[in-house]
Amino acid sequence: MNESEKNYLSAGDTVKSWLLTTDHKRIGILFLFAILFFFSVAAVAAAMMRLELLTPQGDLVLSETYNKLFTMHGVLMVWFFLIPSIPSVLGNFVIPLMIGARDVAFPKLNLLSWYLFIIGGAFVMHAIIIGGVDTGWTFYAPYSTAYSNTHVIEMAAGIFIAGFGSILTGLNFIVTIHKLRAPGMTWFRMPIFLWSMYSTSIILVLATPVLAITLALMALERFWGIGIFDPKLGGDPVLFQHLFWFYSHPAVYIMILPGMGVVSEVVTCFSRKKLFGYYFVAFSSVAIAIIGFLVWGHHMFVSSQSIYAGIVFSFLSFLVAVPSAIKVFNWTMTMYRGSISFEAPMLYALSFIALFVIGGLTGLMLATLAVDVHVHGTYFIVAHFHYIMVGGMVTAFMGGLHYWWPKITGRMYPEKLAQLAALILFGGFNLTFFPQFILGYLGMPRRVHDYAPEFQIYNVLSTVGASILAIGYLLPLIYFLWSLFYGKKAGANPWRATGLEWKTSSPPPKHNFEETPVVTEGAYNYPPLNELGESENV
Amino acid sequence: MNLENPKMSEENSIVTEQFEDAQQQAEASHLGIWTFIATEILFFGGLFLTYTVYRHFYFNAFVAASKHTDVMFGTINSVILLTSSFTMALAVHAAKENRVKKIAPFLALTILLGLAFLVVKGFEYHKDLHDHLLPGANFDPSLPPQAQIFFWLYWAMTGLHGIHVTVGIGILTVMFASARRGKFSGSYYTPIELTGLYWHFVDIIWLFLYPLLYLVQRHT
Amino acid sequence: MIQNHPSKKLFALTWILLVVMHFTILGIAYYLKFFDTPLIAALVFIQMMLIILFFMEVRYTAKLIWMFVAAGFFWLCIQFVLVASDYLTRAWH
Repeated sequence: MNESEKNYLSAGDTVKSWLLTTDHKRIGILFLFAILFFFSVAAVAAAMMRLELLTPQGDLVLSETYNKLFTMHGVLMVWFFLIPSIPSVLGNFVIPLMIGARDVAFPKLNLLSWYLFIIGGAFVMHAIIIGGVDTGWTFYAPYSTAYSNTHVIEMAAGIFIAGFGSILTGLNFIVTIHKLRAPGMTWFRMPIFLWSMYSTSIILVLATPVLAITLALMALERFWGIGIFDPKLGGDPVLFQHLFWFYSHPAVYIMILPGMGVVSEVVTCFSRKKLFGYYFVAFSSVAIAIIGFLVWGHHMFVSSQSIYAGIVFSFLSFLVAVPSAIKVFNWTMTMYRGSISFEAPMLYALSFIALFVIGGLTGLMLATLAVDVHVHGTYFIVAHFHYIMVGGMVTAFMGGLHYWWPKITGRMYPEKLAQLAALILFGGFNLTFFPQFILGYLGMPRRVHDYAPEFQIYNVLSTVGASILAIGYLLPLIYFLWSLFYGKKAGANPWRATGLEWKTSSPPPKHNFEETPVVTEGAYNYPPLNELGESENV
Repeated sequence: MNLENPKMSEENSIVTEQFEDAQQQAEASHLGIWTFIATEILFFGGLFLTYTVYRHFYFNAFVAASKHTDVMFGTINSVILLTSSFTMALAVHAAKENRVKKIAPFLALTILLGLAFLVVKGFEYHKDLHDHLLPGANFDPSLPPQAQIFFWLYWAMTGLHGIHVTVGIGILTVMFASARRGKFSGSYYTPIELTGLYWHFVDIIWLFLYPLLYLVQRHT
Repeated sequence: MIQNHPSKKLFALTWILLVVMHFTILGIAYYLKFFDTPLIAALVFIQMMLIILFFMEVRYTAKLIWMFVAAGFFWLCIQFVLVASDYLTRAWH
């Protein structure tokens, strides 16, 4: 063990050296701790909801409490876990390493985004502690502006502040990827993770401000007692929905594009093959980011939105399926005749592909006007978006965390245990959410704490699945902590992966590279397979 | 490794460690501020969209309400802001031509014009309040109810714009202090340029607010 | 970084143009009975372009900046067009 080698972790161990750091790697880790905290709080809310739903009667919590629970779960999971998960944690850590830079373009702004995130989070936590909010994470007017008796303004303020943190993160990534690429790192030599982070950043920068202004208008109307969404004056509450979903639908792609980036890295590495159709995968990320802005009206099919607009939005929603499907086909083709091994990151990537396909195809069902009218507001919706958000993004986040864990900490996690955890997560997830598709199709409404007795069997299955899911989350937490002290030393490149982040030591030195690297080849240049289909060792 | 310390390039500008040279740093900063401006466009965009929708539906109420705004104050403020953009551009120009002594005076002029804008706006708000143009219980009863939507937007839009002007004055003041300390020269003036870009953007927003709020069918 | 930048004269000219256009807009609003709205819109657009091209010196910067300026407006257009697709067709039957 050569401790004299300074890495970013040993470069300072005071609290101040962490809280005032401008090192992108340390900021990534600060984000990791923050989102784990919010995830745990939101998970507790989920656990209470699943317990309540074990029986058809509302016997554990009051209906008002239940409203507050799902609002809290939604707000925390969307804005304080999923949106920052891969971008702010893994993206922050990996982007400068991948492009061969010493840091992001604006390190101080990067730290500022963490503080904005924490201040926003503090507002939201305070609003929850003093009584919570019951509007649902969507804050629909006029309920939020005129009728709810809960702490709507404070929670909106928290999201508003955290939103500016997101904008700064996106801005930082865009400029970093444009201006700080190492010599020879052309756009089409970049790993796909960077393409997906760039696309994500476009959404962060162009959609989040609309959320900010929408929440500000909503809060102002509530505060003022009069306003523009108020039908008494001639205002139109549906306009609130337009503004809200102009942000929130693209935000769905903030919550999936980064996952697609991780999967592209992992699938190539553990198939020992070049990515099939690199250009298609790269451009499909950008296409998803742009088309994602054109589809928001599919959330409003049963509002008073014009049916003709509904038809347009329905058609545009189908379009998103094209670049999404391109990605799935290309990952599959990448694996075809590859030398596949099933380490934990690969298991997560495979789970992602399977669950994303289910989530995506049910998304097509929901984009169909007639089907949507049938299942709108039911558990079908809940199941669909959990397949994308949890089955997709959380799975990809876990995959990415395992994949880059050796780089982040310099230690290996226990492989067998990790594989087990990945399988538990996959099983637990499906048991939790697949029954909800059936529930929704049979007509059980979402956001209720009691239900007709014939739905009980599926709800029990779902709650059992949620318990298994919880084990799947706790297990990695334990062995990751264990690995910090007892894990095997990782070495610079434990996966024999391509990419600049594997060229520097693990954990990387403070400024990432001893010398600025020069790139001479495209991404994923894995050595060719021999006749037996095995990769030649390098 | 000399990466630990900020490098001083030959032009006496400070290049922070993540950049190779002053040019890369300046390009990155420019791209950053333009990305921020794109964000701001969408931020104001929500308000402009709301305005457009309601103007479409309640055109007559908007015409009636717009007549109650004070064109005089609005026009004076437009000229003030346009002039402040001009002095701002001259400040950047002075920096680029390395006439260092001229930078601070032009910045000071811009700050004064910005303050003048806020003062005029203050008088206008005072008059608006006096004329019962604040939506709510005391709103002028002779106007149709949808006129309250117009004035709600009037206060929200000019208020948000006013906040941007105030922030701009704050940044300009910091720039003024740095300029007085001789921080800028013909080879290092990016912060002034970026401040200028923000200031011009705020000016553009006003150019749109002016006809939308003050001039809806004045001839009828 | 930028070799050529506008001269003081060009700035002064831009400023004068902006102010003149501003009073033109005012005049149109008070006296023109037809086409006033599109005319004012066009003039404001020209004013904006003058500021962007000369005061903000976009005329003299890299193509990339042009793209970023355009992107903000493009996304605003998306918002307006699709929201209009709802409001303008609600009354259809």
